[in-house]
Amino acid sequence: MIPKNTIDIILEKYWDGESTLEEEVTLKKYFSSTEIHPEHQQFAPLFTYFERKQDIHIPEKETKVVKLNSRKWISVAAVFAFITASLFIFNRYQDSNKLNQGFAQAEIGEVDDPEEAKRITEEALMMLSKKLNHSQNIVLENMAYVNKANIFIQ
Amino acid sequence: MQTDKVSILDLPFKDKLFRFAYNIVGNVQDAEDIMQELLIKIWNRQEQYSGLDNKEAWCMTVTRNLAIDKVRSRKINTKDIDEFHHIRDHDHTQDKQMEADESLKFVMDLVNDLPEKQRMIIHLRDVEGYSYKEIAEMLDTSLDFVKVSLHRARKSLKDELLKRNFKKYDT
Repeated sequence: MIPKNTIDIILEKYWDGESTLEEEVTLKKYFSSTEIHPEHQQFAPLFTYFERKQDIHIPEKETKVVKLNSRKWISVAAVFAFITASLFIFNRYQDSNKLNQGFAQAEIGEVDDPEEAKRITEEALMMLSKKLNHSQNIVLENMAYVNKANIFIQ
Repeated sequence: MQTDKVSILDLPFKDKLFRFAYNIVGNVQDAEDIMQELLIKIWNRQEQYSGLDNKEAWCMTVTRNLAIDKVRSRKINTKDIDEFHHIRDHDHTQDKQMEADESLKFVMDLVNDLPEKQRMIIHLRDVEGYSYKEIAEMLDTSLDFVKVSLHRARKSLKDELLKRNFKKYDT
């Protein structure tokens, strides 16, 4: 049994925030024992509270993150490449359609002014250039994700 | 297909993190959300995380920041003060059991009424047993601030316990 005097000294240090971790362990042991001096009983709930708080555990619900093996990643990458290529071709097809429409307009004589024809052509080429850049950016962005995912596989 | 479970449950100090989050937000649901958010942060900063010397301290700091953000956003989104108190209901089984004990409930209320920083410091020291230096690092504050706050928190707990005891024998 720890002498009352010793506990008094440690308790004083404890209230002043000057006790060491070892002394605090001694206090916790003392207050969880059955031999608490009546004078110290009033502080027992505080140490019991701390002890009970330590019994709180994280609820055992798992969050599963499925890690794919390299073979699966090849299929994911193939599907991804196919979608990206399809988008790219689709964009180009749409742009060429718009371009053709511009040429068609010129051919059927709706645009007589050469300056206007030049402007329409430049506009069409600018749009095509933008679309190509956009598609390239999408590919680069998505490749960054694939690279990031590869780090986790390794 | 090879499957790996990547979970907060894999962290050796998961319970300390959960208790710390729960101590700040006051309910299991939000504390669990914070654990998920922490996991995402670890996942997104895998390289930085694996190079850390003190992963536990880093996780505790991130948990603290996430929990404080959660409490702040709750205060903004909650118009009715009663609703706010309802959210902070300490719904863990362990707390419910303590509420059944009159003296433990008394201490629980005292601790919960402490200013936020003091409550965090008391928790990190008296429940988790961290050193002053570790606490200062986790809370991104000075060693002196930790010591002063701990002293104030313990003194106020002591005074209230003495008052309670005095009332008990006075009546």
